[in-house]
Amino acid sequence: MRNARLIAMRELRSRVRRTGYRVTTVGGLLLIAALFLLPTITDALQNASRTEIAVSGADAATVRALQRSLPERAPNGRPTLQLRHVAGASAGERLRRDGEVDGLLLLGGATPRYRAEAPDDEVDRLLGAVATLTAQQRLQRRGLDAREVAAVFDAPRIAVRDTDGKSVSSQSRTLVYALLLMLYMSVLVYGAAASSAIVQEKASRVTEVMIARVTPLEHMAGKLGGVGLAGLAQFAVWIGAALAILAVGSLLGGSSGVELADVPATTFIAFGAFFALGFTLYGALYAGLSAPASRIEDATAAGALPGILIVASFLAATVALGDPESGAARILSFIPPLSPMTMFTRVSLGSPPLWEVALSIVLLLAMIALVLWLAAKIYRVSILLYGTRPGPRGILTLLRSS
Amino acid sequence: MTLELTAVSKSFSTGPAVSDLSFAVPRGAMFGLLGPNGAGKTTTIRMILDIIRPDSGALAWDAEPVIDLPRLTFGYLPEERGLYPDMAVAEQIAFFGEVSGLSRRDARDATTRWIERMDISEHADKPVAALSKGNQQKVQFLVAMVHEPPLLILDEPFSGLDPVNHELLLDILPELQAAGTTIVLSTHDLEQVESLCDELALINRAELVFAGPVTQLRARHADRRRVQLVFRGDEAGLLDEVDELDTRRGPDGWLELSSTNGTSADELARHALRHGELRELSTVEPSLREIFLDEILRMP
Repeated sequence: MRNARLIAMRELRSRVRRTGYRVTTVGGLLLIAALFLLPTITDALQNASRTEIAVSGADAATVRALQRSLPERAPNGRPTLQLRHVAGASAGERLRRDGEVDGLLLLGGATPRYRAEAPDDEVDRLLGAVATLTAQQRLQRRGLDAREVAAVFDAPRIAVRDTDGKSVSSQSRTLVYALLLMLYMSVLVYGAAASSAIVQEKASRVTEVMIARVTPLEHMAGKLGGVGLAGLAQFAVWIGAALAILAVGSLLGGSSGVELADVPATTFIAFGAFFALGFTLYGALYAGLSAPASRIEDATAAGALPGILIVASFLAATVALGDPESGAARILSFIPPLSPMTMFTRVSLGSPPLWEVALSIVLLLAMIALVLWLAAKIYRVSILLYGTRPGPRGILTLLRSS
Repeated sequence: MTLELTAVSKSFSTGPAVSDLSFAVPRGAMFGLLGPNGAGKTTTIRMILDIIRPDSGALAWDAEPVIDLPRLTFGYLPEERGLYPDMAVAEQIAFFGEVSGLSRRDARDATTRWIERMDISEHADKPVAALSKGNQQKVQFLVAMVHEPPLLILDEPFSGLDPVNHELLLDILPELQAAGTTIVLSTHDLEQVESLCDELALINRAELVFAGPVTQLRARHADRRRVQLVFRGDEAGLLDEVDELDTRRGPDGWLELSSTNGTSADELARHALRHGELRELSTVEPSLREIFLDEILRMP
């Protein structure tokens, strides 16, 4: 175990020092920042085009009430139509002429009037607000108190729930899809990375020096651990940055289209757990199948089987993405090669019973143990083979001879 | 502590790599493992290191099967260089020290000490790929022995070393031996084996040809001893009297003669003195190279 840890830490250090790793980490950070900051930038642009209107002929409280009747908000929460109370019509007109406001609303007369250089769609919104306010004032004049008036105009709220009573927002579905895509890509990329790390070490003959000191299982586990940790470290940086941007954004009153409160912590915990499990399963498969190879090209060919399984796993997860509690999604989430992505999607979007999650993980762990055992056997007998990579029959012969 | 191989056999799909191999390496010996390419030396070494397992037979160190021993019992320098090219020299040696069972601190201390001893301190922080071939070989040697194992197996350790570093390694190996390390040296450099090793095993075509002290191997080839003399006088008379004499004219005009027909030095000297003047007389043992070729070519 100590040797596997030492090998893993060396592999991790070596990977994080590489230019390619740093470039992809920084590139990912920039992409995440761009994705999450884009709505805030859009907000800023919308703020720049906000319409400000001076209101005269009504007291400040009426103007505030009128402002409340304009529910339309930019994604950052600010009103798209900003009203400013002015003492008199002439003061308002002066502001309009000086360009400090876009329009002037004159209340108090028999007919409200609106003056602007180029009246646009704000007129409809103003009309709606004035109509609401007028109705409220009429009701109050007829004896209803403020609370009763507010109750009349209180708009009904519709809570959106899935059939299991779990609230689902389109934002969280998008986030889960993004995480699923990340899971798919990461298992594919880091599985292949584990494969090439093994073959490179073999090609540089370090493997022979290592195998003289550690058991093949320790060596394989160390390589897989190092590559997997490098992947987890990269995701930790990306997810941490995304959370930091969301948190800072919401503190500053901005919005990125995804609310932190909408995303349960279990989604991120499930992501970490299913990445670790999925990577171990596919990484071991990659390691075992590429151990007989001594060239990167041969290792790539050996990666066809795990590659196909990973694609199948992603397709199975899209079934769960459509309906996490459908019969097909439930069955697929128990089949070990497919379960890392399918169960992650179900946990994030649905409400699978705890026993189903536990059974899925137990079956996955059993599969991982079997694949690790087989991969270690292949690894032990073939890690020092050089030359043409043996085919499936050759590998079977090697296994029998071991 | 002794390394013992008993009736060890190993076959691959291409045929037998090692067949019924038995020999023992005494504790503290400098032991040569010789044989032509493809003889089975590397397979033998890999079985000693438990990298591969024999089909039959037993390998034991101090009466304990090698498969039960902690791997840090051994140090191994493979024939082909196996180092992380982008890892710094000191970091790499210390890493292999740790993997071989040393604590981080001990690995660092040992690395500093041995880097100085091997005269590569100035390269300590450089990546291995930036070093010359000879210096890389020195790093490979340190990687093999930084944990100072009781048994050190060196496959072509002098490969790529310039004469100065060659001498340095020639100094260090006896030091390690004096400190109690058992060293198995596999090399084609028979002169090195001749100067360093007390005992050897000779393998050819997967089979053991000889195992034992170098003196015993020489005794087996006593008939290859040559008597050499440098003579001036009645050359034709001497050559008529003694059969099977090889001759060569020396630069000073004296005739150099050698005999491998079993004629003793005394007898040859008497013949020579009857016909002229004798300047030098010596008995020359066959070189290990001659013995090696003799043994290899003798096999059917």
